[in-house]
Amino acid sequence: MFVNGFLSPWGFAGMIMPFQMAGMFIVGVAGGIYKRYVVGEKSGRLCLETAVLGAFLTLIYDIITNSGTAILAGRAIIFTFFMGITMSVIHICSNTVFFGSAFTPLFKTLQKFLVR
Amino acid sequence: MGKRTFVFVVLALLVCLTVATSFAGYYHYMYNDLLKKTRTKTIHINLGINYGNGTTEWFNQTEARAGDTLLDITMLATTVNYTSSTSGATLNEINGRRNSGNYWWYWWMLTNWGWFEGPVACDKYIVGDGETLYWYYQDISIYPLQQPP
Repeated sequence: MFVNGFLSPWGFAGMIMPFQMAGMFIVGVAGGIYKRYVVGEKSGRLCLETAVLGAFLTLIYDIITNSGTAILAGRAIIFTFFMGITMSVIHICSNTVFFGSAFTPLFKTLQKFLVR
Repeated sequence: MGKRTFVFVVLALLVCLTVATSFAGYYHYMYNDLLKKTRTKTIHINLGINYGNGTTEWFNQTEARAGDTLLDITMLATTVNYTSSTSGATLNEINGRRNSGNYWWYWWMLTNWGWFEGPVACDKYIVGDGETLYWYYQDISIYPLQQPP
């Protein structure tokens, strides 16, 4: 959040930052809950599950941040969400791929570090 | 199907449903908008040009053809320099006022909900009869962008 909020090449996040933080909070909580169900599962299943989780959480994040944008700019929330749907789809698809492909190798690597 | 699988299938379907509904809403809005804009042969629009130095020029009731884009109409009213790319045209200069540093030409539209940032490039936006559009020479590094006065 620090990098995204203060060091982004697009500039300081500004008033939208609390909404981004709320979105990230939900992602963090979901990760904490999902951690309990990971041990002993096949990596193929984990890939699929994290891909779905990535898509769902990105959608929630986009709904929160788009709502924030609409509230700050005084626009209709649903209209703002419709107008940003193309970007949301790119965001959801890319995060689906990232979550699905990166989770298992990252999890295995972190487990090795924890064992040491 | 196990409970765990069921939960993830529901989540995936929820994402697909929301995205599909949003696309349907988006295209419904765009279709009706285009239909409304191309009903007549000629249109009249109000075009504002804010040079960012306290000067604003208004070209009220500017006549154009139905189907004209904002770029077409801006070129009718002013002297413009622009760069085309696959994602659309970027205005470099209007009447000698050139993009510089963080200050760029950015366009706005007046809607029922107030000023709204141009959702697409100016050469992709088909203008409708009676619309009020506004070119604002402004600092685009500020978020949210400053709305027209």
